[in-house]
Amino acid sequence: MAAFAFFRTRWPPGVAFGIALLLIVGVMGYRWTRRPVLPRAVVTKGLDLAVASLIEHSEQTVRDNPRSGDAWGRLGSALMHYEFIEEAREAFVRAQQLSPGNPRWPYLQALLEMSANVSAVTPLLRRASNLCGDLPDMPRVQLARWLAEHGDSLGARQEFEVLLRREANHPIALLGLARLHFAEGRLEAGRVTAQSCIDNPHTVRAAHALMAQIQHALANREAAAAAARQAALTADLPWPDPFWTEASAFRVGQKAMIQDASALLDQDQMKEALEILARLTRDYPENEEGWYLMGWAMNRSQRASDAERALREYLKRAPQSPKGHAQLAVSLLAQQRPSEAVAVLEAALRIKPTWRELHFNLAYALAQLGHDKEAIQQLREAIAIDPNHVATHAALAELLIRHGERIEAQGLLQRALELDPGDERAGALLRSLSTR
Amino acid sequence: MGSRLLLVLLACSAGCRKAPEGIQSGGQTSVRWFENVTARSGIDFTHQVDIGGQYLFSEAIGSGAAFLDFDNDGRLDICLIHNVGPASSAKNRLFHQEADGRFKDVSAGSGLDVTGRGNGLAVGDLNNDGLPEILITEEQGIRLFLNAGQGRFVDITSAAGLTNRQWSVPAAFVDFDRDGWLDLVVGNYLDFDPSQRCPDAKGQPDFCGPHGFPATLTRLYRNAGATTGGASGKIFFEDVTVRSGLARVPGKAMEIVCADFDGDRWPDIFITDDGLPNRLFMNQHNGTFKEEAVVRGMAYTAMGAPAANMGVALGDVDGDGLFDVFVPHLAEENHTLWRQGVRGVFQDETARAGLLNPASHGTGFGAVFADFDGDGALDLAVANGLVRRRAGRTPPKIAAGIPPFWIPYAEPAQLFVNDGTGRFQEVVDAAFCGEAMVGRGLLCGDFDNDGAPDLLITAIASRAELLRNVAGRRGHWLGIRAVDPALGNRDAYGAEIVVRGGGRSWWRLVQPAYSFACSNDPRALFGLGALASADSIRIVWPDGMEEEFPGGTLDVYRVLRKGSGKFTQR
Repeated sequence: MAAFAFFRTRWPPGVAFGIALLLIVGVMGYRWTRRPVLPRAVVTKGLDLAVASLIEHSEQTVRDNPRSGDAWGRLGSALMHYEFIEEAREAFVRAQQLSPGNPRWPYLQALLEMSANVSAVTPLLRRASNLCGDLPDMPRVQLARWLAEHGDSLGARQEFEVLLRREANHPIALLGLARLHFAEGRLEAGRVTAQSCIDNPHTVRAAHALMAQIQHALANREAAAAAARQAALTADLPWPDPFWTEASAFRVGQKAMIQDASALLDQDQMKEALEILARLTRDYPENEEGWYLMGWAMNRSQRASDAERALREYLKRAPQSPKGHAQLAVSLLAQQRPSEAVAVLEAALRIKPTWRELHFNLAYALAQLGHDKEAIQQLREAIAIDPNHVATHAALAELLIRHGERIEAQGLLQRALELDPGDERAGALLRSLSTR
Repeated sequence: MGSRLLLVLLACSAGCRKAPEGIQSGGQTSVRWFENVTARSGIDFTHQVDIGGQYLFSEAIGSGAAFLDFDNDGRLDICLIHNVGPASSAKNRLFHQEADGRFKDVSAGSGLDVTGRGNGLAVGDLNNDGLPEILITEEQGIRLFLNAGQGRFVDITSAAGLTNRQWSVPAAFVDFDRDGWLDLVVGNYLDFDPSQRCPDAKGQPDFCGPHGFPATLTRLYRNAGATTGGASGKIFFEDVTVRSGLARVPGKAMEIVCADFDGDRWPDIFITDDGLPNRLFMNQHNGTFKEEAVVRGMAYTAMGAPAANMGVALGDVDGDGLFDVFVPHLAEENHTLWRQGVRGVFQDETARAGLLNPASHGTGFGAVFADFDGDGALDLAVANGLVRRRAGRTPPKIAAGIPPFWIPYAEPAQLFVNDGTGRFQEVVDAAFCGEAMVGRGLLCGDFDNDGAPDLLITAIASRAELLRNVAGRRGHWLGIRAVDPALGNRDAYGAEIVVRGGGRSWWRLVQPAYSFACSNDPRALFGLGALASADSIRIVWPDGMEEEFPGGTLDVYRVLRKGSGKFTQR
């Protein structure tokens, strides 16, 4: 009963008013703290329309679902690609508050902070890798690498060992440990560990580079040189990074299309690349690079007249482009139109006289027209610019042989084979010289 | 009471950020090592660059500078270049230092008052007549100017057989075959296509990076002075790029340093490459070189990745008698310090040196190791300036006069003090680091001959700033000019000098080509801390001979002539 005495007491009117006011303020304050946070408006004016649309859509999704961690995380993923650093950071922070168990958002924020705020990276990567557990392991791979790079050998070693406990042949972890052994002067341990990941496609280049250093330090000069040569010839496949792959879906617009098409062209996936380029030139007809890539891809696909059409579109937009002229000439040569190719290449050389490719192609066109003397001159120019191009040596040698300059031709072919002992054309020409 | 407290808080928020000299503030210590003396020195040079609105890559590379004593009066003069097309009225400038220490513009009629898309400078006496020649690297080749005396220079590029037509940035003179004549290494950058567009992440036009453009050859030209008569004859070079082996590994050269990287007393050639593994061409003693950057640990960073390798600082940062190499990278990367533990073997020890997490990450170009505070340990200075706009950074205080176009690329320079063991700590000097510019060249030399290294920083579209060292003297110093009387008393490029005393030794290299696209003071300047007198001075001359000189008094400049000391066995 005593508990109700408080309510039965007759309070002076001022005190009652004060209590009432406090209650109202408290309720309002509670509601204010619980109000949904909305994303900071991003200025999308001037952006690629596809990018602007993506950002606006992502923002709207957050406004519709302000307590959805995923919506915030996706907004951060969209913004990070277009260098809205502050806004992306805020979105990722909010995503982590609302979805504390999702490893994506600390991981992606860590990637963002690597070039923005390095002191934030380690705790974010640690949180992401703890949340992930075993898989995906990229957050832990990144954490271990980050610690190693920043001089925390002990911390890095622990993380590499966690990776190895799950997968005994984890190539990134083996490479990381090998580096730590080497840095600490344990050369033999470094050599053995590096050897265990030297053939893995994810570490082949880096492991050979490290092995070269280790073998050099062990005074095994030949093994070191061999490993260094191998390092120069190979490239490492990226380690699977599913969170980044997901986030990459937020790359849109013409720049993303060019990057995607270029990547596909690098991998010789012409059909897929051409599909993207067709969309690009349709949606962004003023984007000159799209036309150039299409021309290049058509040339590679032996569709010379389509290539010519695309490249002429390109040159309308970039009339001073040497690379455009060079590719156009390729398409003309493929269509047996060497005279036109000569004109195009000569125009290109006026713009860029130091391009070996232009001299080489001009020589080819001139030779087709029977102008061997001029062709020889162009090939000499090409060699002066780039004395490492095997095909130029072979082509010049072939022309010289035709004109009886056998001694010089022999020297060129020997040089070509020195550069590439497996070059069949140079080898055949040299054999033909010695049998005559 | 409340208002008084508020006043105290307000006063603090306005003034407490700047710590007094030598006091740590927010992880950084303020120092006063430099005083900006540009205005009163007579140096009045604002770098010009053509901006066509097309974001041509070459516009963003900037231009270096040179300290040289072109008339042998014992005072350093300064050469500064622009990056402009032939239609521009901006001409390269030569400043002569007068007896009163002021610089006088002597460009007009010097022959150096030419227009060009200049990137770098190299200085060296090519005909052994005691007068240094000047080479300018440009977007479309190189130009060599013969020093004809009386402040006159003559363009002898074609006559000297120099045919490089590529976009060249660094160049260095080195006697690679030890025949007594300085040869020339020209670092070509990349084969740029001006029609290439490189929009930023938001689709706005910006400068391209190196990726996607073909690599080029670094050219080696052998000075034929030995056969053509040198001083009495003409300067002539033979292109030995292919024969020497340099053609085997193309790259995208940003800086060249020539030094003996393996202790065999023959000069090797280290080239930083933008976005590619660095190259280290080891001299095989027969006119050829073998590329060994990977095996010697200098191609990649510790994580096995190539980086945007820009300038080079070279010096013995930990006093072990072996030089170490610092290369700055992009703001989004880490700079790298390769320490030489065993002779000829380098390891990335950036983290251990405390250089990994400075207060801010800049895109570094020019870099210099010098003992700025005279305590006997080499400190580090870096000129910064972005190559592409960068989102999310705190806008720095911008130097006056920078055109609005360049402001998004401006960054403050950085200074790091060495604690004597090779560990560095970032310090802030208002004159050097206080204002942001698009820094490129960083020139080091003691222009006032007071034994303290001074700096000159060049920045795109900005005034060149001359910074006089005013650090409180904490120790003694010794300046040495090493010359060979048999070679016209020219500076002995490639000589290694070791000063010994008090149970310690200090190492320096005579080679003005380092930093970024610059030719620095060719004299060796030693900060010696508390050392009272030197026990001895040892010089390994460029021909491999080793000579010992008596130590003696400090705080002076000495000229040490080959043959005037005591030759010792190797």
